[in-house]
Amino acid sequence: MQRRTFLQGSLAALAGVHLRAPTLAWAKEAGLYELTARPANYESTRNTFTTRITPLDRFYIRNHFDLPVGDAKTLASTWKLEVRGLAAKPQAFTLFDLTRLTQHTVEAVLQCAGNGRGLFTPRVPGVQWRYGAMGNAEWTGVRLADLLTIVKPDKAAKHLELRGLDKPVIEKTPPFIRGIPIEKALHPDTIVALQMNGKPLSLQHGFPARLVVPGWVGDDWMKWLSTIDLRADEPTAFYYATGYRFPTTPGAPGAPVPPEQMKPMTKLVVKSQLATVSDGDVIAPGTHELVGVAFSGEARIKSVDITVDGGTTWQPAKLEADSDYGFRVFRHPWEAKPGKVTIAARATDATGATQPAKPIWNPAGYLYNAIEFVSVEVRS
Amino acid sequence: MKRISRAKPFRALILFAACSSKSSPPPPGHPPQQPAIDRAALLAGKLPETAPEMELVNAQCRICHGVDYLTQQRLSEPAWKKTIEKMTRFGANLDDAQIASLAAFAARYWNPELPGRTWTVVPPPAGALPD
Ligand code: HEC
Repeated sequence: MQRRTFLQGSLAALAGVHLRAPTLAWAKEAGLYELTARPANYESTRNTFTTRITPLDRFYIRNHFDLPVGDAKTLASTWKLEVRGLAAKPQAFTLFDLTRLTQHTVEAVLQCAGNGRGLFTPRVPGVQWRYGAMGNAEWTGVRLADLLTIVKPDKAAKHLELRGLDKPVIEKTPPFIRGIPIEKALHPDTIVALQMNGKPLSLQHGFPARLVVPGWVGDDWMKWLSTIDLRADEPTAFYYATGYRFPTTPGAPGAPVPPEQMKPMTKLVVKSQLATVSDGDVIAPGTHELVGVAFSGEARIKSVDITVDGGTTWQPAKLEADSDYGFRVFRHPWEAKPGKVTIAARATDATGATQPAKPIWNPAGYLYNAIEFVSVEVRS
Repeated sequence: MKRISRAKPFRALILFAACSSKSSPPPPGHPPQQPAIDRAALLAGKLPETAPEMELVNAQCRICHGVDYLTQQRLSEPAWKKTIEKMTRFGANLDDAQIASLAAFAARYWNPELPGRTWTVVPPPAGALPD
């Protein structure tokens, strides 16, 4: 207890130091913002986003319910992935079964659909994520297509209904059930991951196995994946048929959207995140480097432009290595002169999609990707 | 229903009480006073522990999740009512009068006028890192 309090105190102190720091130095210490303790919903700090791969100890955590019962050792020996429904050879795979199949590694951004929910006006209910409900990792595991080859789906199988081991406290609460179409399931980059950044998944990240659906919203990346039902139609469960939906044509901010105009979210949208400056920072004059990450759904990042004059002029940032679904780090040297400065980054992907100037408001606060204007003061 | 109709004039009384330095205790038989709004405490995620509705919050809103779900929202009274109604569909056990009184209570403290919560950095929670 005492040690934890001490740790919290010193980390909070460090965070405080960072906020007042006159340079663009960033804390290297592990740490997350605790948005909710039970179930655990923790967001990454802004200064996490200076690297292509997000370290495990700074990676955000999202849960709907308490963790499944049982420690890793018990889960490793009792867990099974049942693939059933419209298939000629339904089968339950143990962890051992999966480790004996060919392993593949995919780098992909995991982002909660609600990342940025706390930035919408009018405000919307839900966990008030701001910048940090996203991270990029190398995921290693078995191709879902390989498992489907083993169970031999019927021609009629068009959708996969996904369940994990987590359970609501009360029977009346809808369980977390999601679905993806068979085309995405058969994509060679869709995998049942056993590892994250070269380490076995942690309990919070879905040990022993989670689905990785590159380019798609995090709610499809089922943790503690336990059942896949092959079916002809879309799932009818609450978190698919009612929850996690986005308007087909977003309307005015705050306006209600009729249910028949809401569809399931699939792809992520193009986005960038400045890591080294935040609103209200006081920065020393001189040369600084603006650093951040950009990513999109099923498209690579083509360019990131930076403004240091509130959007009047934009210059292309220098981009590091790209990948199909990962973060692309951008860097931009900035000669800071005394005064008030408004900085922003704007990413464009290979399809030409770019970040909007105004947020695309929707009732549940999903897929926030508006350009973020950060106001800082330069003085010695 | 009776509780709701009493809530509005009662709230006016609290505002008055909060402004006046010589506030007298409520007459016997009246519900206990609403604590004054302490912005700093609310921004840090603290609850108005002495508010009369806290009994219901503690009994119902901690069953499935922590009350930090509540303290980080910034919603109007109708939006609070919709959210609390959703909780009853999820399994919270509240009658209509209780829903209305909780919505009024929540909107008194956690409304769009209140800035966003302040957060502190903590170590990753149990189970965040591989064994
Ligand atoms: C029967 C279980 C249950 C009870 C009791 C309950 N909640 Fe919830 N609540 C949930 C679940 C499940 C969620 C969704 C959690 C998530 O996805 O992060 C939720 C989410 C929320 C949210 C976020 C908004 C949203 O729609 O997701 C708020 C605010 C909230 N609850 C408030 C309350 C309040 C206030 C009470 C007491 C009146 C309460 N809850 C009681 C299950 C419950």
